[in-house]
Amino acid sequence: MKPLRRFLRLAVAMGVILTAFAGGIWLSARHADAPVASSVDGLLWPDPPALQPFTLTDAAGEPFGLERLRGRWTLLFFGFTHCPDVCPTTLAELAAAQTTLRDHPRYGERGRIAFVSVDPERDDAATLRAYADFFAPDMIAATAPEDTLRRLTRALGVVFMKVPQGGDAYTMDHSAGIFFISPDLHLVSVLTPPHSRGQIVKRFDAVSAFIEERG
Amino acid sequence: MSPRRIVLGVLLAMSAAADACEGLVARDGWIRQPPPGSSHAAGYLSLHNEGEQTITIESVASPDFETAMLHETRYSDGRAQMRHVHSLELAPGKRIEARPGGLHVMLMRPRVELATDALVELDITCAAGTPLAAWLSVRRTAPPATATTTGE
Repeated sequence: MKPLRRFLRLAVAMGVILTAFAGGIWLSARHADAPVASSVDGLLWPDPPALQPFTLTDAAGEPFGLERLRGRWTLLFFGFTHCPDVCPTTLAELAAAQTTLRDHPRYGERGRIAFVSVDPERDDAATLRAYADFFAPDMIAATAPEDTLRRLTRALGVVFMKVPQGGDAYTMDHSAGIFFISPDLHLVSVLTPPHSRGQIVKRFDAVSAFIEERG
Repeated sequence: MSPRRIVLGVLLAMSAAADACEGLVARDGWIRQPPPGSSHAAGYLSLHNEGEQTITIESVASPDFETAMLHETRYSDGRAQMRHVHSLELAPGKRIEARPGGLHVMLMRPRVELATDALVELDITCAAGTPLAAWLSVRRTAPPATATTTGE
């Protein structure tokens, strides 16, 4: 029985080798189709920053934190409702992009636009609700006292500052990029302004394809 | 088209021939309807010097808003900054486009309801002249041909 046992052992070993070989071919074929990081514009890779826990207050007066973003793609934008040019322009383009992205398999119905106001002094919950509804009724809108905001913005490299305009009037300088947050809560791309719906859709498609393939 | 719009259209055509700001033609004016709760809006238009002298726009005003100013959005390291443009010079033949994400008319605290398709007045004052009246139509979305300043 010794030769038979040797034969069986050899057959098992051959099986293992063949399986590993086939698996290797399959994996390399799979990766050959996957995009290369350097070919994806604006991708933060290989170390996309993980979002740190935060708690803002949304337009319904409810806490808004990381858990609301888990399991969905989020297009995050910072601004303020008294902003006449950049914010409404960007949010209108984001809303138009989202209409297209609803048919995108990776964005779908779960994807969200999130608008964070860097002007808590003037943007209360009711103001934020009316503002968000004007662009996209399912848009998340939120803010928080400045100290709390800074914890979130610092982690993302977002800056904002109040600029006096005479009397009580002021405007806000602020980072105007669109931040792509992956379903596992990493900042994977920042699209710099000015924005158009076409660019937003294109960036989402490329970045989300890479992340869901490799992430 | 309503009689009001016809009258305004005639006024707009006449405004191009007004002697103040001579040669300055303002076209395709529109204002993005501000979202509820926002008292700030931006107006956009095309300014063309069709005359033979350099034109300097020194200020803008609107009877339909408490405050109007020429502003410019600038980007620095991905940060948007909005700054007052104190004057604007147009050499003969020069065209300047005020568009989303760039030069715009900052309009604060409206005195009229900004319903879609309403027209608001913009008075453009050139050096030592009476203002040129231009009209901006209120739109929910940008006109189809309008791109952002350097976007697609």
